[in-house]
Amino acid sequence: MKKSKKIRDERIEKASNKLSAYMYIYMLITLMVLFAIKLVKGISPERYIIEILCFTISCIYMIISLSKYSIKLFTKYDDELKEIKTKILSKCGMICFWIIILGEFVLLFPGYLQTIDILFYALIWGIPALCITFYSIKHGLLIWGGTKRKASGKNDLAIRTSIGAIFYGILMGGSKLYSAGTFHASGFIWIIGLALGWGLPFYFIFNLFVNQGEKNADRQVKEAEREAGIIHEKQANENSQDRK
Amino acid sequence: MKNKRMKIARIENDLSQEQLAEIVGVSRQTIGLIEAGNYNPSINLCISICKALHKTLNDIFWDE
Repeated sequence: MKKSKKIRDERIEKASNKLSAYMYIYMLITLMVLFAIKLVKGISPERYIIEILCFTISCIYMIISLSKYSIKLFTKYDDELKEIKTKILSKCGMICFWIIILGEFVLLFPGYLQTIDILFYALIWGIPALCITFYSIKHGLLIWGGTKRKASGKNDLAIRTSIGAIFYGILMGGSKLYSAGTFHASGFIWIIGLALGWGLPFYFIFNLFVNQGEKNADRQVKEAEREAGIIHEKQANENSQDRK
Repeated sequence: MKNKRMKIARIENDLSQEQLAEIVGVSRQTIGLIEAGNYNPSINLCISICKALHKTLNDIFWDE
């Protein structure tokens, strides 16, 4: 028997695509507003290059992908084409998300962006990211997918969190290693401290979120089974009455 | 509508929801929701489920 290691649940994928598509629309609108404000205020172009990249790259991807399936953006379609359209929009959302995240990193350190820009960008990707996370927990979309998968999922999470934490530690505390042209071993303690300070809470909070999502998904299944049982009983009663 | 035939076929194959979920590559909850009739699977997932349970599409998903 072929066993799949990684969970690619179409039910979760469909729901996630829908959420990411909404995220794209929200990000596009807020980025447009931000872009317009920056243009009116005559702010230097480096501070709105992220907006331009988001519009151009996501729109080019969207136009090419939609034309590949001959789908029009504002036309109503059957479920299958609607799903394809949602998937394309969700990918556009992810493109914008990563452009903002990477753009912030690349432009912040040379000093092209100001704190206010970072704050606005954080609101643009942070609000939908938070909404999606809480919606996913509430509706049982953020799950391990079974007891066996829980163990591998936890390992996977630990590895990913460790990589993220080390990256965060180096990024935030890397400058402590080399200062005034000399190497400081104490910088390692800073890096480890920062990595642990970020990684441990993230790991435990994310674990908690997924466990809660699993509980909510199980409750959903139980409710559906109970409802189906009630409907089934009702149908059986109606059938027996019809026979009489 | 509750998919009793799928549940029966699964039990006949001596599989739990979790085992079937692992074979077809979805979550245990999705199998539960399909059996409860609360989620309409795609044709690809239907085929995977039928293959795992050694049944035809008609056996499990055709509603007369």
